[in-house]
Amino acid sequence: MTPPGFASAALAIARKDLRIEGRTRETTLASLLFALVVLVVFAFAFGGDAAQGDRAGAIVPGVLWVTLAFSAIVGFTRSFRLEREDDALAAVALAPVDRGAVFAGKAIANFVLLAALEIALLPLTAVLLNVPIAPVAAPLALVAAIHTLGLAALGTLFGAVVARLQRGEALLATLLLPAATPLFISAVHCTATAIEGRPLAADRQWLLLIAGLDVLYVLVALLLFDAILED
Amino acid sequence: MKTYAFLFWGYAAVWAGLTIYLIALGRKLARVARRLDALEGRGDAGGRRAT
Amino acid sequence: MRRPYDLALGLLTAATAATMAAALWLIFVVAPEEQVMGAVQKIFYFHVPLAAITFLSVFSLLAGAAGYLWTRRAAFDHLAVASAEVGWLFCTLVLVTGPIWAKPAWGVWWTWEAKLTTTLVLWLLLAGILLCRAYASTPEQGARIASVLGVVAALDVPIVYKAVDWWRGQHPIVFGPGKTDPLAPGMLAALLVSMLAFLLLFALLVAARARLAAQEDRLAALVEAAVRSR
Repeated sequence: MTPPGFASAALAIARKDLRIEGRTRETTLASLLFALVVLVVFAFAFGGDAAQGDRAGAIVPGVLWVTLAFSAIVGFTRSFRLEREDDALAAVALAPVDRGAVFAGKAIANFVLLAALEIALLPLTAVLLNVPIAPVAAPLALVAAIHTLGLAALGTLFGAVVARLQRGEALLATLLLPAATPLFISAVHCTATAIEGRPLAADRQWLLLIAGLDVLYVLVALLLFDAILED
Repeated sequence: MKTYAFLFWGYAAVWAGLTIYLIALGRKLARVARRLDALEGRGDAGGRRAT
Repeated sequence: MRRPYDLALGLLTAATAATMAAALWLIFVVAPEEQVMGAVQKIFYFHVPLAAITFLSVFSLLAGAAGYLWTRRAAFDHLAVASAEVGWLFCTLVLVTGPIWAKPAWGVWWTWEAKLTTTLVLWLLLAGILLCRAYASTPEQGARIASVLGVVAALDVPIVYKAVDWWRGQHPIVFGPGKTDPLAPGMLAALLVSMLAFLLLFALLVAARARLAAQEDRLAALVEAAVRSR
């Protein structure tokens, strides 16, 4: 049997991960619930109703992305723990596919799961914090998509790194969040622009930067994934 | 004087940090060297890798 | 007969001590006191070299990490771990001396300006790398993982700097490190010598730490051989 090509291998891995997730739904439910809890905590932290109205534009983007960041970590952790638990990762690594395809497949799966989380989270935020997102849905979706791509790539990279360490899960946040600083700065800034109804073209340089970073992260991850999956 | 207090703490921090690290390094080096000597004394009888 | 490496290390120690002594003399005796900030300004002679060397350590970390991933030669890993550790130490000192200078100079302990923020992010990344080494199951895994992280961190630092810089451009900077006045000649000499002194100190610490790493490797190999030959 000829080894599958890169794209088909990556898609196969993505499909497998998503199918497992579809059956068990453990990651999506856990992250969604966690996201809701974090949102509520933020509402308390910023004084409930006081976080709405004029202050919304200042607070909501930050709240949104911090919530996403921590929920994403829950997701990335479980994604690789799945494999570690029955040494499936070793089997995957030994498979006659380019290990880069493993990264690509998992990153795609993580992206889909994150997107699903955001689709659920944004309306919830709109309701709880009284932010009208329906009129700005398109620019908001674009901002979210571009930044989620980068987050998925970095999260998959670091997720794989910590999966092989003892007590590694505790380190994922410590590693991922500082490294993703540019991503979050841009995300909060562009989300604010979108929510406040200003044209996205004003943030062209940010969006271009993040698009470039997305490509860079993927390339670097593809380069380094062999070294990560060696054991 | 307030400004001198700041100054003092600044220098103290730098020197303390560097000194602590140097001492820690020195002790670790000494400990490893001692263990190496002990092992190499015994290792000579058994098999010894060419380093 | 001392081995050449020991001799080099000894010379480096002597050079470091001498240069540091010269720097201290220049800083405290020769350099004039700054008119506005007075004696506190002198911490600048420590803070600036420490910061510069911290960023140098990122380069040496990148060299060691990339070299290890490429060649899998232990010497590169020794360079990487030494750069990460000493770099982290210097980074800590930068973050400690910075606010001590900032408070009397600008009235605040901290500001989310590009240089400070990047230094803080770097500190977190280096701490993460050192923790990963500690949590690894085997030294080889630790070296490999830390090298991957080292490469990512080194590449990330300039990106973080640029991003924070842009971000800050959106907000008016009410206070912060503006253009410093041109240095008086006595000050320049003190700064340069101090820079050299800390550079030598960095080299010394990295060499010593790399030496420790090499010795530990040798120890582990010997222990393994002793166990196997039993």
